[in-house]
Amino acid sequence: MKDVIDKKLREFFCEEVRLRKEPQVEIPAQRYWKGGAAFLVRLGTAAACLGLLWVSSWYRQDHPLDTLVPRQKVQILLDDALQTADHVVKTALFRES
Amino acid sequence: MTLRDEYLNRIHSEFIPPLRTFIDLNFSSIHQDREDTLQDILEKLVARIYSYDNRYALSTWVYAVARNHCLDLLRKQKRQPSFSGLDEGNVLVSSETSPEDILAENQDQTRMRQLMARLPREERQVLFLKYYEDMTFKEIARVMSRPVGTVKYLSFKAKSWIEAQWEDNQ
Repeated sequence: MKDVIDKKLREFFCEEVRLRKEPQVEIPAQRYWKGGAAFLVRLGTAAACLGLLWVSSWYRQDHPLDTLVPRQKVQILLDDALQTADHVVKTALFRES
Repeated sequence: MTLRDEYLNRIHSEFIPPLRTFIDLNFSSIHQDREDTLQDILEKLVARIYSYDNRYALSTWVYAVARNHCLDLLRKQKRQPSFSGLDEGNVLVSSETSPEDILAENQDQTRMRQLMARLPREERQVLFLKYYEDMTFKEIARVMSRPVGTVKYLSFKAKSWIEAQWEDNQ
């Protein structure tokens, strides 16, 4: 009887394993590759963002005007335009007189 | 091919269906999906492949990692009780088992499955490792972190009980 039970147990476990042969699972190493690629993409994006920030800060240091808000820029341009117009008008009047 | 790749290939080609069976038979009360548990185990095996001591059989190390991982999951589960919990060993039928498979199985398989469900988890583990993996008692003791004497006793007890039940049903 002992031998019969031994045989039955072997058959039982073999059958249970056979029933679980599908579906195949992905090799974790492949998942790691995918994970590694995704990590590199994220790292690249972060590096690009940091680079842009660095370039823009360097640019601002050399171009102080660019640190002004747009309203101030427009005001300066208008002042310049008014001064030029004033100068043109005054010169013309001076010549006429 | 490095030794590490060779071990990983062996794990992938030889151990996936047996590990599924090992989880189903012994840790059916884990709430997590079996395939997720299997993936977690495989990731652990990949990450810890350098800790494998090749003086021992690869199967010994694989099942020890799988067993410890499943026991950790069960411990975590106990700390976070869920309403869907099943009693230990109640469900042995794989979620992948189709109705056709069940019909095709012979009566002995069904009877043995019912008997297995009534055995304590440790005894089921011993039987699986002994009869499917053909491990020695020493190897089983290593997987289960138990003394060899205890493993022998568990095997004897489980087999005697199955034998008695089998004879009763004849």
